[in-house]
Amino acid sequence: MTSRPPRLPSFDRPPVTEVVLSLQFGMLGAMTSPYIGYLWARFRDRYPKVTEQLPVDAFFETFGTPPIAQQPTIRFEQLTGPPTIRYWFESADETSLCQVQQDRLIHNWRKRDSEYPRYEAVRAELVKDLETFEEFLQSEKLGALNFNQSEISYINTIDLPGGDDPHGAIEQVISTWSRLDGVDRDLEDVVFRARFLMSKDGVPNARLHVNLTPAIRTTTMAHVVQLEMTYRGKPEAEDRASALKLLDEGRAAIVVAFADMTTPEMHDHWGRTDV
Amino acid sequence: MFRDGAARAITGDAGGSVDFGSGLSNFRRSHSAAIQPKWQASVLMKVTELLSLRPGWDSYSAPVLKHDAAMFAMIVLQNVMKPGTPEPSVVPSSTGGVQLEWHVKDIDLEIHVLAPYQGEIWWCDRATGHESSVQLSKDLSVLSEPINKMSA
Amino acid sequence: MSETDDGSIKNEWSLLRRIHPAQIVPDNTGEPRVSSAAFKDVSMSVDVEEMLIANGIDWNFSLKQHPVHSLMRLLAAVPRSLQQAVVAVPIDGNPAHAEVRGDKTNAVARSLSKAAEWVHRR
Repeated sequence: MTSRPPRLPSFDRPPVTEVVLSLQFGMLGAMTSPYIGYLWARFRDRYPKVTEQLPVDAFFETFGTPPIAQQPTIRFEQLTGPPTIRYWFESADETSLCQVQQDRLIHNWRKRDSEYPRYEAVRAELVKDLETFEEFLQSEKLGALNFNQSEISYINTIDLPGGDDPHGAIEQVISTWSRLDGVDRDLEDVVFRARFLMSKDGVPNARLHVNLTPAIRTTTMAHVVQLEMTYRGKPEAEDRASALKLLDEGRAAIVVAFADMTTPEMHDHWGRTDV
Repeated sequence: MFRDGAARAITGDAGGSVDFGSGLSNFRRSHSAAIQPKWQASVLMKVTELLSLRPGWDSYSAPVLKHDAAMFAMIVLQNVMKPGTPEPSVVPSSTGGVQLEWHVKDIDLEIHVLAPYQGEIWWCDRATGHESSVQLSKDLSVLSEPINKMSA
Repeated sequence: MSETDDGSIKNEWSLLRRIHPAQIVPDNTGEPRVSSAAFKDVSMSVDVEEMLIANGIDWNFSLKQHPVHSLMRLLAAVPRSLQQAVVAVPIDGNPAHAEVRGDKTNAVARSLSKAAEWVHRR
């Protein structure tokens, strides 16, 4: 298992409720639905449940041009042939999810009754999924994986200590936020989106996307905010090691940005240990 | 075609929370659809036609155009096209890629997309004789100059 | 059959290449020109016009059974000047078939497209 880099911000009780590790690769056109049964046979001891979903769009970060509002999302397969499918392979306790489609492999950790097992453990599960998937591809002669994008997402579900409503008190969560309300003007909620250009050795190589939205915890109907942070870019090379390396870099960038963006008061609430 | 929130692509259900963000997302989708540049629908239609070409379409041994090459070509265009930029010709290459090309005013520009981040960018200014050829990569900055010249 | 360029196809002979309609684009005057995308195969198939004639047929043979394609001609000397090999590769039913072999960068493909002239455009 990889080890945690030193000097990363660290929390005993981080508010993370989902971690998503995604690897995108050149399309495996030969991997059609009939083959998925063979894959599930290899996954079944870890993932006894399988369901079908619509496919996820492909993303390609590019640089050197003025930023555009949104990347177009076009699945040509929907326009030119029968629909393609994304398969969800789910663990019995629903904590782990492996998603597979013709151009992606994704591993999700989702908080159910368990505590966050830390990035290194989630990454190790992704590597297991990847090894199984590569063995399957080789066995069925469906092609090799040439990775063209790595993406890591942390979804944090944040409530305030003491049960206050965070929707109108976002300045208690986000360190750069000033109070917006005033006399007879009460802030009800905020939706916030930021995009950061990330560079390595002075060269743009990834983007960090941050989204903050108000939400309701369905189990308790309590108001919370959801802070979603996604780091995405093209690996230096098409091999597995390069794709995983970009995930590791993304994790570090997200953790640093999370600590920078949130307030010291919330850090105390989450049990920050590195300061 | 456009969707808000790149980060939302692939999450599961995030610990059972439900967010309110979808209203804003829907508005942005509708607003974006209403202001799409004209070239987009036209190029999308041409690319979709090319995707239906069968193997050997060139009467020799050309493979079919790959979906992710087509997708990446659209993304390149989305990132570089300006309001005054003419629509490119969209040409299938005999190696399974797609070539976007312009021959406008004094500018010849060809972007050959073989696969995401793979291919070649070539352009020439016939007025000055300047010519440039680079590998297609994640850095599209080399396209600024020819696109600006064509869009003037 | 020679695997290499043995010079049996003379430099002054003509190579015929079929062009799909999707590979014809407007030039800067709006006139149709062939795209360099039509000349990118590493082993690019052509018919040698002089060999067709020696067999009692002509360029129409190259377009037989290809009702939508156009036809272009370029001299064998042109690809050779771009470090390409011109190799006779006769196949069943086509004794004039040959291949232009070599990596086709954009620069090479463009040079080939510029040097080609229309024989028959549809």
